Amino acid sequence: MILARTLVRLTSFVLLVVLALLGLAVATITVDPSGVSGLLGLPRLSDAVGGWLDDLAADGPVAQAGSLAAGAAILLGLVLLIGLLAPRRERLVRLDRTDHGTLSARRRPLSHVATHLTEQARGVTGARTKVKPRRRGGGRLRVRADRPRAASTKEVEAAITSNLEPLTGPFKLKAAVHTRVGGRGSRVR
Amino acid sequence: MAELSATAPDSARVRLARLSLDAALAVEGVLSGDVGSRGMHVTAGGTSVVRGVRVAAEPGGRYSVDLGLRARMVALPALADAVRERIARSAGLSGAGDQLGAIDVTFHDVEDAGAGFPASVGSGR
Repeated sequence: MILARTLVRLTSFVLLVVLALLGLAVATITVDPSGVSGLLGLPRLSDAVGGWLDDLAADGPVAQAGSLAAGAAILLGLVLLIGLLAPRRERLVRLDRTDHGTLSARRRPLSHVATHLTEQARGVTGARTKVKPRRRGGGRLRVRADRPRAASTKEVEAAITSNLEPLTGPFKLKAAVHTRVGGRGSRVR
Repeated sequence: MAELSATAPDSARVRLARLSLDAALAVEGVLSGDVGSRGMHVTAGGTSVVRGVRVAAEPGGRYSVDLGLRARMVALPALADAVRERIARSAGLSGAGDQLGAIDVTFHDVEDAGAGFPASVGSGR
């Protein structure tokens, strides 16, 4: 989807440039119709590409390349349509839904809170977290924490899981906690 | 005509949006309203624009309130409950209680105030 949207933006820019050039050509034709043919070099262009167009019409490698290019163009068009028309889904984690209303949060604040809670756990020297929402509410929380070599993996992971409980419990987040030995300078907080 | 529209009173929808946002901002732990990355949490009517809340009519003559908020790093479910309670109380006091429908709360951002989490949530300032 990111690729499709990037392609849409790039193609929009290129098409705008082409549109501007076409506008310039139309303006030139309007001012001086007789000089346009010579200005654009249409007779020379016809001589240059005439043979290639004949090859394209006949059976052969040029025609096959043309077919492949046409197929690629159709595929590109479909990707552009998907990028343009597919609805954007806001990446919200839905935490709770009752008759009184819905409670949701964007991924960034949840990730921010999770990092804060993880870094408060005993034995953690650094942390990175990532929240992935689920369509039916809640989501997954991936935690990667650094610990000193002397600290026990199980103890640190248990401390992190316990610290995350105020977030994972009410928010229906399933936490996956992984720790690794931090780099030089890692110290227990 | 321009003068008429400039001085026209706010609609019930805009009044409820303003009331809801003011009530939410009065809750300790809420920092500000936030329109969100796509600018969806906005209520506009006439010449008034209320940023940070979207109020829409529901069947039955009520209005749903959808708040977009920035908050301190506190327990968010408790904060959302406090916000709902405050809005319901404000709406009741202003006579708009029967217009109030569901109240959705979306937290767009949290700020670390340096305090531990979860900090307590206050019901008012």
